Amino acid sequence: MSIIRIVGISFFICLLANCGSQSVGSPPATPWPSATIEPTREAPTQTTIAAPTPTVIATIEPVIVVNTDDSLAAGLTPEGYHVLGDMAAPITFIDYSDYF
Amino acid sequence: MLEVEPQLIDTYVRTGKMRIIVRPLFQTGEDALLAAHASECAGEQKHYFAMRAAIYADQGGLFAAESMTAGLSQRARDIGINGDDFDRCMQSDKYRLPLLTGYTRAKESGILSRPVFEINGQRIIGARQFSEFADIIDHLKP
Repeated sequence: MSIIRIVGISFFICLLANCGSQSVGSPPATPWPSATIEPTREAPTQTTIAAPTPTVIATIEPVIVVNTDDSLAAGLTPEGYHVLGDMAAPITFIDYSDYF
Repeated sequence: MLEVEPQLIDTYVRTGKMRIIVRPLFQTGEDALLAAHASECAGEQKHYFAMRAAIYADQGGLFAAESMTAGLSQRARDIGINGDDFDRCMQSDKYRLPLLTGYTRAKESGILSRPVFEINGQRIIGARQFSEFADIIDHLKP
């Protein structure tokens, strides 16, 4: 075996040995992400939106007496309800209403 | 409806054709009861309808008052009522039970919303224009 061949084989073996030692044990430059961690966000709770109920707007509809003059007769019924006008008037208008 | 009242009064009450009876309801609660009580106390001094009108005319002011009772007391004084007598009447709470009894009777007779009107027994539910009331009343006139 010639000297040149021996040197060539030795160089080849050495080359192989060096490559192996480099590939083992050197940590990757950047750590391998074990898992992608998404920012935790609570699952949105199911919000039940009730169907809009019709808004009953209370109509404040007082019916009686804006005038405050004393020219009209006023009194009470036998049951104690207040009356404006002639007690003997042929038409009776009863107002059921709330103050507010 | 505030515009309708004077027309009803001028057209039918002032002419002697109609009388108006007030049946207060308290569907809105304690404040309405207090206001009705105040009207009753004003009635002791012959100012029932004046007090009623004063309350309706200044509902916003009453709610803005330091207290509903204080606001009603002030309105009573504003219309010339003896304030001390009025306050004593309010403190007595003596109309509370009769008013609540009247309210119960109204509910028992089927008055479940407001406003409701009865013209010679004909029940009308909800607010109406003067012309609508007039149509009914004119057909009743003898």
